[in-house]
Amino acid sequence: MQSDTLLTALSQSGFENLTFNTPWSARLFGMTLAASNKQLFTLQQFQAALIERIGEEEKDGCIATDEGYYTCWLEALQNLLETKNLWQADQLSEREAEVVATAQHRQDHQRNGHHVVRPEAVK
Amino acid sequence: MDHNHTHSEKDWQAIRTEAIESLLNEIDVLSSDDVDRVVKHYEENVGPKTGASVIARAWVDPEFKKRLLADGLEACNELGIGGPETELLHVVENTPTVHNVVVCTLCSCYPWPILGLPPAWYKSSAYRSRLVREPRKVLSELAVVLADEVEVRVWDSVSEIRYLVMPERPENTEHLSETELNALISRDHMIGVARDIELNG
Repeated sequence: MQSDTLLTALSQSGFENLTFNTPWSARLFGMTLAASNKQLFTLQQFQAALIERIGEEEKDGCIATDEGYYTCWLEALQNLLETKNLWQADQLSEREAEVVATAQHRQDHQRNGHHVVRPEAVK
Repeated sequence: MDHNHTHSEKDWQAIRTEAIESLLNEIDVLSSDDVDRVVKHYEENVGPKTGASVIARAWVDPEFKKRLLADGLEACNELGIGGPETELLHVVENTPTVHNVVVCTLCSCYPWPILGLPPAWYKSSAYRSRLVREPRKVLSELAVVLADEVEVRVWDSVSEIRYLVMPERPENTEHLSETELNALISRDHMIGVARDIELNG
């Protein structure tokens, strides 16, 4: 069972946060609701996937931070989307490599003194 | 300054999220504008004050209160509040002898269109696992100390029903306007992890 107290969880996670702690959790939340609005899946199906993922996570430990929670959310969404066969098995890892390369390129560009005129939106 | 050129500074979660969104864009399932609209709505339009406006209206309008207790979502719709994210809203009323508190033991279901996003602690294993087992103890840790004669009702949002606690209207507030009443009500009152409402001034 849980060894940490609620107060520990509160102090770790920040009691007063009202929206998103990270830009990626905002995109993730938005993507999930938007995909459900487009009837790619129902929120009940997503809820079931999230419950399953959180259940697995809590077999080994606790979720005590916002980041830990949204990580479960991300994995649940990924699992659910993969059941829809929307892309090939290796496409996601290839796209991740492209995202990393783009971020790296931008970083190098900035280090070399170039100015990014329009910050790239997270799209 | 970080001179490591071989690693991205992005978290793996950020990378995967961006990659999934990019693929969904590419296959025309979802546009970034679709995602932007949801995020903007939750960052700018919806929050605990949305729920507070519902409670304040119920406090000043007994007929609205009856409708709210009978069908929460339908009554919220009268105020232009709602969304496809919530299908059923059950409003539970605190009384001198009943205290209501909301949890979601299996994940973190929450009335998003009414209260905005849940606080981080609502999603923590500690809150979710302990509130059902020892509600009085958890509430006392949160400074809600209840007399023995007050019954605690814990509402678990595991099905499609979402819950909203209606706190008791404080005494001596007859002179306050609906807007002033709204300002007294916090998110924690509507989750049930706060009970007493303090009058300002």
